[in-house]
Amino acid sequence: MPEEKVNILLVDDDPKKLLALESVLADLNQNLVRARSGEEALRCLLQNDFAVILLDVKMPGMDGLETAALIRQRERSARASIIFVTSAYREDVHALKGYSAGAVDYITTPIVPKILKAKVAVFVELYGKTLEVERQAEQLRGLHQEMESFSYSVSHDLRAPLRAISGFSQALAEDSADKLDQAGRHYLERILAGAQQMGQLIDALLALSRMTRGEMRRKPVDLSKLARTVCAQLREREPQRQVEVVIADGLAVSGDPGMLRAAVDNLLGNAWKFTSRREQARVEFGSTRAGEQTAYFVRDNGVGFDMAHAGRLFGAFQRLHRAEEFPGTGVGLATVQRIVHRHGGRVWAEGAPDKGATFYFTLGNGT
Amino acid sequence: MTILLVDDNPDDRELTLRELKRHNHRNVVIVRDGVEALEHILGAGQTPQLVLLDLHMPRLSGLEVLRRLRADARTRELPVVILTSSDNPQDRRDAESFGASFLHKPLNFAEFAKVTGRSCRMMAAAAP
Repeated sequence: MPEEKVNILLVDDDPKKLLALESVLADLNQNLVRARSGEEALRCLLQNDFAVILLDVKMPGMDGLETAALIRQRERSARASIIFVTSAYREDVHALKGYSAGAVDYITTPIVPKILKAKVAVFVELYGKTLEVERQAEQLRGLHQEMESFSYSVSHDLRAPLRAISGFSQALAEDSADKLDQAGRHYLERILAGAQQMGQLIDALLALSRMTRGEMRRKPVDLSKLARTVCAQLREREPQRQVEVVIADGLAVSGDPGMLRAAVDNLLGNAWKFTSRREQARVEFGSTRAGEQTAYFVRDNGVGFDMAHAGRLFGAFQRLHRAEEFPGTGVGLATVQRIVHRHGGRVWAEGAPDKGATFYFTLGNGT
Repeated sequence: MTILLVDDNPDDRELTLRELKRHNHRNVVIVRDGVEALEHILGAGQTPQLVLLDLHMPRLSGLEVLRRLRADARTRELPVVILTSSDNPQDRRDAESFGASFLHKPLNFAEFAKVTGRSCRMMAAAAP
């Protein structure tokens, strides 16, 4: 694919210097546009997008730095890199850095053609890459949107036959139970349970897809408080169970509150579930160091797992236990993994059969 | 109370009707999609006291039906309850923006009674 030419803006009040710049940059084979003042440069920017702007610092009227500040205020020229041309190094050219995708650099006069050419070439490349990344991001947003409406249609359409199965089974149980013998009533129960399980699967899949796309907003989140809320709800659901819960205090992170809630829900829910056969069940939530980062963990003394299967834990629909032993959809840990990845973190597990399990996660640089 | 039930899915129609009958709602008229709903309400001028409206239907969506009902002076205040299996939060927002209640399938009578009680009270309050 032949690369499209990009625009380079040369700004200098001295026509001789403009000519010199032009002759140096001619063999980069891009569109060179000349401006004799800051005002003229700004006018050019209204009409075209530029990859690189070479800006003479000392100009009568609006000088290079003022011009650059105005350029940076405009969203359209945010991607353009600015190279100041100055007779001496000036600290203040860097004041503009860090505000946009485009870089800021300077070159001193007298200009060394090789250096100028190399700098401009690098920034032209940066511009191309920036555009490419933006294109890809745009494409990804489109795909996410498509994926979202796809998953909503799938769940909608899957629920319709399911509703018929459970609805009519329910009707049969209510209206004609007396005409059924014990085996018939048992079959009916199994149909209803199956339909219910499938409903939960659809819910879990939707949750998984919701975690994949959609906006993520980082806010301060108190993981300790979150964990206490989740555990209180688990207790409420099964008040007969004796579970020792230990939650470390002050686990403050930055993350998307809804997503972190779903992750903690899943991890603590698992710990709760897989300790259901323990007389002395114990669930712990805390933090530890993992290299440079803080890792948060959920530890339980439940049935554990064989490390040989650790790789399968986070795959969707992967289950290490039969549904009769421990109910579940097999989507929970896949959801946790997506959430953690979206935060730029990592999730992993340690365990041994009958020796409990520990699930660790980090939350990337936001914490 | 006369209820117009609008749903393209025959299983859902039957189950919803059964649930309504079990709670002594015997005055239920059934139509099979949005076009039939509008013909019934606006065309034939047989305004029900409440519309139970599915969203995702061929020919004319529930949302479009709702929009047209709201655009007509005769039915601007007509209580409408959306009954759908959609999980898309946008659908709920759309329905509520047109002043309709929003329920998930299958019809749960307790929920239904709650929202219809509310919309009928609003109707009575709005009546001249």
